[in-house]
Amino acid sequence: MDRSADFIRIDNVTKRYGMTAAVDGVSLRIGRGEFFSLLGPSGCGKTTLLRMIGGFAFPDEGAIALDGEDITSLPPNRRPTNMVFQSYAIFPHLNVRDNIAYGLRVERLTAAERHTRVEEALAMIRLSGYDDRRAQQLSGGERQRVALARALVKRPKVLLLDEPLGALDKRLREAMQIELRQIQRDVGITFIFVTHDQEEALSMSDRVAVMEKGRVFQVADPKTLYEKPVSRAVADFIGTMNFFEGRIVSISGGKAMVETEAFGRMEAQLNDGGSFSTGARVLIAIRPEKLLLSREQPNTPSARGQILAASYLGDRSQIQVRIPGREAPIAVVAQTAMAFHSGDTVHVSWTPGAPLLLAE
Amino acid sequence: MLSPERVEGSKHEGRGLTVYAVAYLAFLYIPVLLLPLFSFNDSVFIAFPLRGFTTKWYAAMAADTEMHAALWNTLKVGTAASLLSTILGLLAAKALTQAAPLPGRGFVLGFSNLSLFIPEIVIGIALLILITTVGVPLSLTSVGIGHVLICLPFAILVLMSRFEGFDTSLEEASRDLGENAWMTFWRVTFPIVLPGIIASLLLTFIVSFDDFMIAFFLCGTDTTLPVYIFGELRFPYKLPNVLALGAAILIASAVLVALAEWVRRLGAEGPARNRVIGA
Repeated sequence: MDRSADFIRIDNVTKRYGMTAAVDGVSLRIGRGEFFSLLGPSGCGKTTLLRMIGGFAFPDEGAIALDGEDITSLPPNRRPTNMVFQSYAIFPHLNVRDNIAYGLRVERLTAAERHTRVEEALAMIRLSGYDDRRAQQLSGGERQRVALARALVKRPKVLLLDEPLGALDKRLREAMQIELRQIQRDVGITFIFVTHDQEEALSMSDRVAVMEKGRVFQVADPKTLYEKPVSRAVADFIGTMNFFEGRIVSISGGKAMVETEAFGRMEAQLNDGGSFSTGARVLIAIRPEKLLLSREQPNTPSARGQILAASYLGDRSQIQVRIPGREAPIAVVAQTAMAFHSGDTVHVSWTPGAPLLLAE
Repeated sequence: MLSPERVEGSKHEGRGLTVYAVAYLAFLYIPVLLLPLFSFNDSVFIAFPLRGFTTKWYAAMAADTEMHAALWNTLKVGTAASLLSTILGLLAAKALTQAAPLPGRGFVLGFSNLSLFIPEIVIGIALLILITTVGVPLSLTSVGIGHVLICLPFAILVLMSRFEGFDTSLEEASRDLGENAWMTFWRVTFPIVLPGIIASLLLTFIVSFDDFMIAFFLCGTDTTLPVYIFGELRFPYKLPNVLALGAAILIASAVLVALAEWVRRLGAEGPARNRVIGA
């Protein structure tokens, strides 16, 4: 597969509604055949950005190019992109077959070719034999699949998906996530997927752009995003993160020694992007599962605290620990082997290499 | 589960409602049913007791060429006014219900509906002054213009209610799948709002057909049916003809309403078939 990295080029795109910028100077490169997600809370501009790629909104500034062609101001019907709408937008007056064949009318195909394409599409979404059903007779998951088939039958260069799984219940959503990923691998079309669900974005995507307030904070593969977020906002949005304020005492060999109030001196990795100097006020970020609890004081640096709450989740426990001189409790995820109860006194330490340095 | 007393209570309530419904329907329809009754009565005077059965009034109606001309005028004006006001109403309803609010939406909506609340006699006189000032001769054209004015709010209201439930992403999906705006209208918007268009055509046709006041001021010598009927009431011996005509119109409108209802159900039921299987 040709993974040319700038199959889609979004250059400095801004879209304003009145005084507020829904999308504010966003630049992205998306590769051919990539499963790319735009992740962020509602109102972060992810849908507006998707709609500008699809031609339903036009940037006030900046340019969008697809496969070397500038598509910034083309109407939707003249772009090689297709969209799966959040509401699915299944035509209520047409049956499944006519819905899927809708976009083929303008393609100048013979009746036989059209028939073959629709049959292929129905088989792909495993709805063969549903030809005559109407939208009202389909379940949410079936509508979603029809919307997908209707878009893919056009063989677009890019498929745009606007929170397509949001309306489905949890179990169906998880099944569709796997199915969608499988279909994407099979057809090899670039998918741009908008979601506010970080687990969904992490589990499905090749890369994710984390957006907030119209800006892109970080673009990375799911593992990097989780393990090396570049800012507090990203770290906060993806999973749970503990933050500790501190001051850099010394820097050497890609690591910084940070004096924190909670734990004393901690050694933290320097992030790729950030530039830090000795004396700067910084944040130390540690994931809950990288913290360790013990009843005895360990020989590594640690802090003593009291368990506020412990919830048992089968394979693991979520524990809140309060340490003196710190208002926010620390979130810890522990293997369930050791039983902790609220009120217990514990020592909190961390896996070496886990602390991450972020700008304050 | 309902207790026996509760069931008794609701049965009793049901009976009360039935009595009310029957009384209500009687109040609505008995005066109307007197029309066909007297149209077959063998007497010029509209009074009980009935004198005997005759169809001569229908024969007289069939021979009354003036009445035919008036009926024909009314149908022409009604057709033109309903088509024109529905087309204008369609454009207005589309603009007034689009996602990005139209600037001055409330203002436009308020003013387009205002003519519903202005007495028709006022509109009639105002239009008469305007049309004679502009120099348009009083004719079916001037009646048509007046009828578009009074029909338009009905068309807008009926069509807006259809457009309000319309998911605009359907049009976007059509554009996305390669259709231009014009074909999107014909392949998506039009079929979905069609029941609203039919309802608007029927309603505006009836408003136009029914109108006396505007036509009275604006028709000149091109009499429409209500104006003709009003004129005929001066001659008592012609009254039974009018009764026969009224009865004929009654049957025609009953057929029309039944037809509209059938079309509406066809539209509503089509997608609902086999719903159980899909559920």
